[in-house]
Amino acid sequence: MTAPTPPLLSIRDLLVQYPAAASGKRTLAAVNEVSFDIQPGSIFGLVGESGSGKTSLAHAIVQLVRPAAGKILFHGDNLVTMKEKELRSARRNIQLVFQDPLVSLSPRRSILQSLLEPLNHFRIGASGQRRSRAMNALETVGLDQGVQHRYPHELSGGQRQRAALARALITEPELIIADEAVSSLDVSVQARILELILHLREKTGVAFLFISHDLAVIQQLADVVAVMYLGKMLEIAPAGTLFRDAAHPYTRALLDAVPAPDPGHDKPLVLSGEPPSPLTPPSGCVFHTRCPAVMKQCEKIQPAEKHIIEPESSPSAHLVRCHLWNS
Amino acid sequence: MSDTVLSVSRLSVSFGVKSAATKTVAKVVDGISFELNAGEVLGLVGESGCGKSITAAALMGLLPSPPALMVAEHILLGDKDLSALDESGLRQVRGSEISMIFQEPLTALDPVFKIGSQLSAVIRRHQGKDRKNAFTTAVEMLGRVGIADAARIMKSYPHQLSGGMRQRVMIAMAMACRPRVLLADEPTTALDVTTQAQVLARLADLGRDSDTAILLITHDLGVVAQACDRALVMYCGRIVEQAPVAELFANPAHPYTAGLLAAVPHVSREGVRPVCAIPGSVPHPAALPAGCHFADRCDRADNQCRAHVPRLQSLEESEIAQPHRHACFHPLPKAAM
Repeated sequence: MTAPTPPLLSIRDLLVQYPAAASGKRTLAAVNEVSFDIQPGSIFGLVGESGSGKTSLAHAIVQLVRPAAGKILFHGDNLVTMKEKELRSARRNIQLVFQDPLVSLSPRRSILQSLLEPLNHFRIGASGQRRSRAMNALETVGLDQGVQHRYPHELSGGQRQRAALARALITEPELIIADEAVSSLDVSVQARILELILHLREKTGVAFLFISHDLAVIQQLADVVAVMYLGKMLEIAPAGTLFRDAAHPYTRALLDAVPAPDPGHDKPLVLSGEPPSPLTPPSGCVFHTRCPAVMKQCEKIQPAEKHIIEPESSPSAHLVRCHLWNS
Repeated sequence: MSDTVLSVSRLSVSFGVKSAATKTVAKVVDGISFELNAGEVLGLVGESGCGKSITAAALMGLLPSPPALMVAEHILLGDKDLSALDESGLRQVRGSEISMIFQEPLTALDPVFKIGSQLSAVIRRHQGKDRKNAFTTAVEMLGRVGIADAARIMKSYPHQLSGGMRQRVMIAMAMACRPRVLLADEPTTALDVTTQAQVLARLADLGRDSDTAILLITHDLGVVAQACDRALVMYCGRIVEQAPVAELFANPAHPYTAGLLAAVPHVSREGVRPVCAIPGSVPHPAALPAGCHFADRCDRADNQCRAHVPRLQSLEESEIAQPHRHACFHPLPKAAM
């Protein structure tokens, strides 16, 4: 917003591929030449439908899958080329929270044991102080100290997600990647976790890569929003701009398809067809098979990334990949 | 419009909950009554554990007993009382007069049979058509749910289809015999928003064409607003409010309904509308508070609420045909929100 701060995380031309046949000859590009920056302390919302590559992107950032090409710069250091030993310390600074907290919490460990594990692993603090750190983490996420001896199955969904956040926070990371972290919660519980995430950012200055299929949730949190479709980043914009003046036809369709909890609202325009298989993505623009504004060149030529000029006060540029903006 | 096709009176479902020392009973559906009118889409909305899916399963006679204990004054589908039918009687009715679709179609589709044979089997069973006619009807049904290449889908196995396609197949199967009632339990929850919009639109069209009344069970108030004519709000096994959708969203009378509406995030061009959480959490079904189950989380609650169960009552000014009812001693004044 003021003088340009160096980004916390910088992704450049990231390509994540999976072998699609036993022979290994065919590949599926789950993340296809994606670039973006996350500023320290900001919440970067990433939205897309199933199969768009959101989770593959998250896994690539923490090197759970090795990207085929591209750079992942954390404080300027490329995680892709790092040795396992260096990666370990970087991972302390990047934590993951999943949709199902039972994935990040071992069913056979009490909450306290789960909280102590990263402290022991990274040798954070003197061993005598680790317990009080764990208690602090519980307090930060609004959990009663009494839950420390409980097991994950004894907690409600909301409490579990709080515990998972406490576990992610305990290493004092600079970035938390939250992959559909509120998607399985009921709205009344979800609202409290959203409040908590904003509070945690405020209190600890941690940045979030917040991945969700739910645009309404993204709007509650994000400073910058990116839209993915079939492995491609189609649009990135400051949240206010994206929700007011979405540039890409897909973003507009996505915004429109969310059923508004307001009976007076217009019925959504129905986008035809289904997302094509990522095994055989369309030529040219990946969205052209469903796009209401499709033109001739869309079928052949991949649209280049285009800067839409933004006021200088904006926290991020507005980028779009669409031929509509290239003329 | 106001012909009642399904009339449910005082339906209760309880489960025995065994713990180490004691055996308690959890009443997950507590004496609910409602009517489903011909041609309407009635929303049954509530959070996890409120009893909405159990209600649907009970109506279909799908709850195994034991462990479930189901009691009802009546469940009238036309002139048949479903609560009095035995299993063979229910089999006659299921699929032909009352059908159900689920959140995850893979639980309802057999993985080892092709779509064509599963869909034809339903039609042959209930309409007595021969193999060839049933096949033709099946292809026609797939066309009506918006499947363009029906011939290919008929030859596919469930796992070869996308989630949206499978849900369309389920809808085709459920609607093949033009049932009078369709129970749709979170039919679009597992789908992407663009697919959800398509499926909801198809469901509404089909319901209208075949004159099928739809009970749409959902946790998503956005889906209620877009797809339903009326809605019932459930909390801890009881219906706490019922009203036409526009009225419900404009003037929620029950504090729980108002709380839910305030907790739902909206997508808005005008910027962030902050959400408000409901304090506290849903009580365990085996340890429900006496009186109004919402009292402990409600800022309008007093001693009366904690001691007595509020009955569903009509708001005075609501129309008789589409009454706005609420179960609250201290309902919110009109347009308080």
